Amino acid sequence: MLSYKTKWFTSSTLLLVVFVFFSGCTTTTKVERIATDEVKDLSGQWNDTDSRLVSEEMMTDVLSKPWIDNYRSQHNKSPAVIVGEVRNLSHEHLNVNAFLNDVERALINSGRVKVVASNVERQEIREERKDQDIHAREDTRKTIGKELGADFMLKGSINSIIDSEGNQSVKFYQIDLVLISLTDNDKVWIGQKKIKKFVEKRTVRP
Amino acid sequence: MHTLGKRLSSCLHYQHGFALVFIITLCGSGCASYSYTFNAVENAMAESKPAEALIILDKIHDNKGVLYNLNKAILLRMQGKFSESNEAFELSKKLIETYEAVSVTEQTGSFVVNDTTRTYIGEDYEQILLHFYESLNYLELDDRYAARVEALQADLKLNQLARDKTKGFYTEDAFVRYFSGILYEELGEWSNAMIAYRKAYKTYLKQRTQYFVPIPESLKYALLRLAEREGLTDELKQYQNEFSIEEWSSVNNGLEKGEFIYVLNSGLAPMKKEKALQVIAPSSGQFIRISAPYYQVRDDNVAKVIIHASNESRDQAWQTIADLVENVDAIALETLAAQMPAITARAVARAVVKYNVNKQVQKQNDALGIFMNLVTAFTERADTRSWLTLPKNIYLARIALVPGNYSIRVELLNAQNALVETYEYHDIAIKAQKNHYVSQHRISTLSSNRGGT
Repeated sequence: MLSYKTKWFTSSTLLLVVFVFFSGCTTTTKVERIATDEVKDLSGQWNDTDSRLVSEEMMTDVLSKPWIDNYRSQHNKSPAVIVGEVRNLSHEHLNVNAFLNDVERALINSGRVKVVASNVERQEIREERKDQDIHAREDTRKTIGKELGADFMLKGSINSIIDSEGNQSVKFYQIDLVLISLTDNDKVWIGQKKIKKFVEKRTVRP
Repeated sequence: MHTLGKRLSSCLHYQHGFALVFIITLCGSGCASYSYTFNAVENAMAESKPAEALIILDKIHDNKGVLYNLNKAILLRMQGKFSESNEAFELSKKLIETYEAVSVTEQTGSFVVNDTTRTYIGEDYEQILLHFYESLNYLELDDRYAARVEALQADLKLNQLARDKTKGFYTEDAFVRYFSGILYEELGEWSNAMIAYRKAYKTYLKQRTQYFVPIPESLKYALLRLAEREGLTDELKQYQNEFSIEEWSSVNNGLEKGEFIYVLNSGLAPMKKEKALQVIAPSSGQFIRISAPYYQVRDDNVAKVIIHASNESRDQAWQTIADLVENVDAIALETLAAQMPAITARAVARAVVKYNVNKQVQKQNDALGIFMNLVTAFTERADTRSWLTLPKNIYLARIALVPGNYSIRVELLNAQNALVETYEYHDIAIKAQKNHYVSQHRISTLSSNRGGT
């Protein structure tokens, strides 16, 4: 039989264990490096994989359509494209800039079109040119008025529809892009890509 | 039969009395009512010192959970730090998503220790208002499409609430719908705006006997404008009859103007306090405590908000009265009232569990029984957590102005129509087809109903 002191000690310890148990467990962060093209869906939200896959597929499509050859045969040069605004009309604060970068990269790397710097980038370059005008050596100075004007603007939107019931939801993303001629507002290409995800949230945790 | 007092004094003679002191200290520090610790934050807010309030908030929150981040977000937006405020809101959302799954451990804890063992993820109305404030932050940062994301997230959450049969009365938020409508209208999404305005109107009508918010005048004009724009002839006639309004400015007229939109967050949301029933069971001499929360409404001396706008040359002036658009007090009180049966049932269940445990321990060892009785009674605390930096009332004013620079004067009047405070905003640049948002948080220093136990 346990002595009084031992019982006292055992009960107090038990009580403390109960308190610690209820005060929450701490977890340590585990980090594991993975390949950048590895697909890892965690929350079901728009992620880097969606951005990459959509931009790659849509840019492959835009580059394979006849508008490029039509332009080349008429003007005897590659068309210059500017990537305009892609509006986020979805339910998430998704990173549109990362998507735009993916789009620009795919266009430039194809070698079939020229890509003009964006509005914000141009302002910065112009500032630098002004600075060169004062500080740079004359033979290295870049003069104003020689910028490449874009022939087409690529713009669009990312929409989403979410249907949910309880802990289950279906997320549907629709990405619409359109390429418009800056000369005559002619829409030379319209692309659409859809993504559908089924997300099931856990209902119980420890 | 032993009385508790006699047994306690004999207990203190035991050489292990230090353990009792230790455990009482341990649970005492963790059991202090949340609302009580918040007084210092409120005082700093009332003195218009949100930066100081944030420093105090950091000190009182060991657990940087949902509640901390919600309060932090409001204190940051009070300082005009809208981006940082949104970071805190986004973190709150992530934590809510993580902890909304039911925890077996925490649920057990709520039946054994008290309701505060459950991770706080905010009441439904708090989760919805989170989207409103994040949206307002984006609008003050001039990012319409990010604000639109918040409108969609609020819509998603409200639709989920409406489908959930276990939810009480608060399954729709008239003001949040109205605010989404304003945003859609600015973006030229006429049908979305019409749908949002219509939902707002129906909800205001349905909830006015519970939440005491009349249909905002600016919403009436918005409904007429949009119904006309969308060619909804019958609906337009219905609104004309219901509102008795014959003249309004059309959507096309509005395209030449921009709107100045003013949001006043007045006072502070009610504070949960603890009420406890303490008895000594005659049969066993056990000390039994059952506690539950109740709301204490805080005073606010604002009853009327008048907005004056004048152009740069001061040759033209406009005036409008802001509408009361959200009564947070009423929503909070109704929410707690709906939860009371479950809260009471858990408190009674806890009392039974604790009583039986104490009885068993007492059989083994009398002193330990007393000790256990004290600990279990001491840990019986009500859950007084709530988003305390939310306002008591939200007022909204809309003035359509031709493009130009304006000075705005906002007058806050009390119930006797006496001026209690004035705010002035200068160089407000109004552009065509763009809304200019300005918001203000005001906590009355005259409030006598703050503080507490």
